[in-house]
Amino acid sequence: MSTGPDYISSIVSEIYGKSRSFLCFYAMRFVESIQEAEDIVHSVFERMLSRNVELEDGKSVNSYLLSAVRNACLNHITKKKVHSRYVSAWLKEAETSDEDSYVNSRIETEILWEVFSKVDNLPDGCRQIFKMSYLEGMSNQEIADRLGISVNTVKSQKARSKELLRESLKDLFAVAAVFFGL
Amino acid sequence: MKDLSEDESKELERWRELSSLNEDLYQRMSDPAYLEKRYSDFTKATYAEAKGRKSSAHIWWRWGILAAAAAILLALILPGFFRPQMKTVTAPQKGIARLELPDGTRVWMKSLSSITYPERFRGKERTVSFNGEGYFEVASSKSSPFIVDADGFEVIATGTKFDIKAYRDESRAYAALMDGEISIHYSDSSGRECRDNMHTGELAVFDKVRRNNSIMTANTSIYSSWIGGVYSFESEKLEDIMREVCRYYGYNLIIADEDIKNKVLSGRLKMSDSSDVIIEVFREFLPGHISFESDTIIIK
Repeated sequence: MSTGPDYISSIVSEIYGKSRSFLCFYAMRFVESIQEAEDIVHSVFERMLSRNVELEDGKSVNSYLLSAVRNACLNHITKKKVHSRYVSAWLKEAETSDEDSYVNSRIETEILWEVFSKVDNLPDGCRQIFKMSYLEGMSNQEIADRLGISVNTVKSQKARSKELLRESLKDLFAVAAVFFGL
Repeated sequence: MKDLSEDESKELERWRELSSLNEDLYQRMSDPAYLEKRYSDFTKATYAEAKGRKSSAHIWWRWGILAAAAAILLALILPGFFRPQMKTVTAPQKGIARLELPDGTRVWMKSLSSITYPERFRGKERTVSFNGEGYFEVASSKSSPFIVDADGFEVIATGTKFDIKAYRDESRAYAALMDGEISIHYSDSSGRECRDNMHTGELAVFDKVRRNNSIMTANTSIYSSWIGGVYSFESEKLEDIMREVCRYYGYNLIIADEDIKNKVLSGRLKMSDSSDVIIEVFREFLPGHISFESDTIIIK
């Protein structure tokens, strides 16, 4: 089996293809625009290739990538001195900079990624109502008014999206069930 | 999908209290504005992705993060289940209740006054509803104002000491500031929102009928003397003093004489004294004017 530079670069580009969006999504927790996020993720991969990064024992490629992206983002915001609603919180988080805060940001991103992916796959009507209700915090009445439908339709669509999400997120719910005995 | 049982809520509470990071995570996951922003990030990040690829598994489940996962999911998918429980505390008649709120704010409440507050403060503001007279020592937090809402008369503080007297059945409400700064928020007679700032040593008197607020300098320290068991008053109308006394001891009051109502006096009464002792003080001051009819004091 070849372990030459070509082989490595082909592996890296495969990983890049697989995890680029996820890493961009993670990066956007810290930076403002998708352009910045893409640049940061790209630079992390470039560094990985050029320096032939050696992974520590027991650390997965994903772990390496996530912490590299996080550090790059934190450097970026410190340099740019960007201020947004969440940036100061992230910087505070970065200052404590221990393993816990990193795990925390990672868990959050992974869960949101899973849930949003499933939300995106909901049927059109359901998805819109789900987003308005849970992501935008609108009341049933507000949604009904906005979409020109009845409150009962909103309720039934919400119930349906919950069911569909429950089905597609059942692995996650199994986890919740273990913990909470649901 | 069922609501969380009491045990489950306790479990969640316990998890949130384990570390401030858990709490942060929970707060973000139950903040619609944050979720909305992250969903928009998600849309941008996956825009160029081919369909069907999005769900490639990135989840590394570990036992250590189960609790986090569960809490977040439940908060996200089932919002509203974790709305904080409200608690109401009422001070005993002829007594003072002292309590500490979840944020560390200390409250003293006079006889039959009551406060309603969440088991845990969430979001940008710490709001409690209040009826009666209370002395507040607000735990300092610049980013999260503490709001005492007394039926539309709101005292807003970030960390200070003040006394509020706002009985639902009275036509006026008062706030006396001992230390720091507060602001008074109310809507005036035309429905306009007003906010008046107050400084140390000022007293706000809010007329609930005309809906106007006036701020004056006053010897504000006497407004908290009751927490030490002394009712102090300085140049107050007899009617107001008697109402205060009657409320404390649980009497009704009828004053039939306008001149007596408007008599002005200053003094100190010990709240540990029995009502007989206190009434005797007023009898001496107004000989022959005070009589009793079951639980009503009549002055004429």
